[in-house]
Amino acid sequence: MTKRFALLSVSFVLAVACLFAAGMSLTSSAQAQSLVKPAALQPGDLIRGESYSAVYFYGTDGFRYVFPNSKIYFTWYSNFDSVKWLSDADLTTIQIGGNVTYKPGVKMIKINSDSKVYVVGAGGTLRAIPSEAVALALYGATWNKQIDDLPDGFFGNYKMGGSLEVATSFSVTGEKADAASINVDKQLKAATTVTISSSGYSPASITIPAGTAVRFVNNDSVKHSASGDDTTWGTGTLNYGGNFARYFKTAGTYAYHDAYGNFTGTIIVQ
Amino acid sequence: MKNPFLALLVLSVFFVLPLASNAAASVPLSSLQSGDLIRGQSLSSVYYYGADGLRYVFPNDKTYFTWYQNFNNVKWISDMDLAAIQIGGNVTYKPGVKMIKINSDPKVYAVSTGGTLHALDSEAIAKSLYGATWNKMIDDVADSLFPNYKIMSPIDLPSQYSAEAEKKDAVNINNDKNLHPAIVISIENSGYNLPTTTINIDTAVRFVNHASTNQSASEWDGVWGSGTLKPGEQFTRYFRDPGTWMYYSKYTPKETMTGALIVK
Repeated sequence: MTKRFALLSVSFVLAVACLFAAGMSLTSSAQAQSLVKPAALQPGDLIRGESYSAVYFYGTDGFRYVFPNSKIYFTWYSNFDSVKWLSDADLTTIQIGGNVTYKPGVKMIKINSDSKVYVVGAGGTLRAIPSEAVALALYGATWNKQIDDLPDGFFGNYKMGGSLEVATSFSVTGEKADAASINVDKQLKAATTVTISSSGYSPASITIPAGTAVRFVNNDSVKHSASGDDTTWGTGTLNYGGNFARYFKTAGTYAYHDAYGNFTGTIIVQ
Repeated sequence: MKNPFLALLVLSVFFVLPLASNAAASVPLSSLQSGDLIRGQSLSSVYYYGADGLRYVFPNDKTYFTWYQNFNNVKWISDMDLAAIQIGGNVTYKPGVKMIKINSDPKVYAVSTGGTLHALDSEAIAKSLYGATWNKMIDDVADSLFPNYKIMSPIDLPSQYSAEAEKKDAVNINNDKNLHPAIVISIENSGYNLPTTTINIDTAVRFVNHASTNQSASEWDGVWGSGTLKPGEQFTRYFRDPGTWMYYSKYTPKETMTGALIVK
């Protein structure tokens, strides 16, 4: 078994070398499209800018998620037909949230410096396949054509789950069906919005669950910021219309203030 | 460069030594020290061997050269030994050496410990921190590597950041990533040598099979597990959240081989 996987990996090294590893680009530049505004975007849209052809997933949390290569993209989508175009300036205002991982169930993956082969579960959780028999039971006679080599530099995007042992502890069709969208796979939730106006932050105090994001939007005609009192975080200068979102992963009370005025606010993370 | 395949090879970001230099003899796994640079025989990727016993990937040569000048100290190990060392993550830019940005956003960031980023609020600040040639000291990072970094507070005063001090503090990658040796749990014929272990969060645990037969350390509900460990094999996992885990070996009756891991 190990030997079989090792042999396979040799051919995959070549295949992988041909892939662009650096954030995927559309191969032939399609005709420029009419532009949409960020306000018109829906969670789950595919987006790109004008100058660069990289396509992103627009998440429920308002962040854009990177497809590290075309193989990952094509586990989720079969073409680029529904990609919406934004102006470069508008794309800039959407922060990067992370990388998209393989859609669960579609392919098995491995890295070229290790012969272990993994199935992909929800949220990029990997489970090692212990034997050829298990791979065969899950993916059929062509199982060995359904393994992608993942560049080492993206392996850190995945989490390690328990190894499979028996084929019945993983269902290819079940995993695919559960992965309804990248939002579901990553369990993305909407950010809580705090607006900044001439009278201060609104709401000035919010309570949010740990692991969710807060988005600050400056609706005032002058510059403002939301700068953490402990100086570990902050929006930086927000011009009129500017926004900045941040994930709060750890429970606690986060006080912040405006570097351009006297406004103060509090975020309670539970 | 007529050959399109060659051109693509050059484009490939994941970092490969330019041309196969002369193969070097493999050193044994046991001779590796924390902080060594390592590579296998067939593939030319170079890794940092961390204090936690995991290997860390240099996502591209730009990242590598913020930490090292050349490849003189790279140790070669057999492909099999390399496969036995798990990947821990990616190396990020050495603090203070360069500023970074992504191509779809004009914001420029200074790099601090552990890949934390501080946005520079103005050109004036970039100039006062990095001098007149500041605009030649900015690297574009691929979007897909940007999630390796963590955005912290912006810099609006030059006194909030010192490139020289950051460089000096970043003694090595172990330090930068705050890597520590893993807690080792030995699997013996009689059971786990530390059947109940309490660890701090963000600590790595390494299960090493010293028994004479195949064993495993498998979480009761299959949430995590080492898979089959042959005698002499090992498996390392980081525990990032507090909680209590029960695990057992699939090859031995549960009564004999059960362990508890308490993560605080």
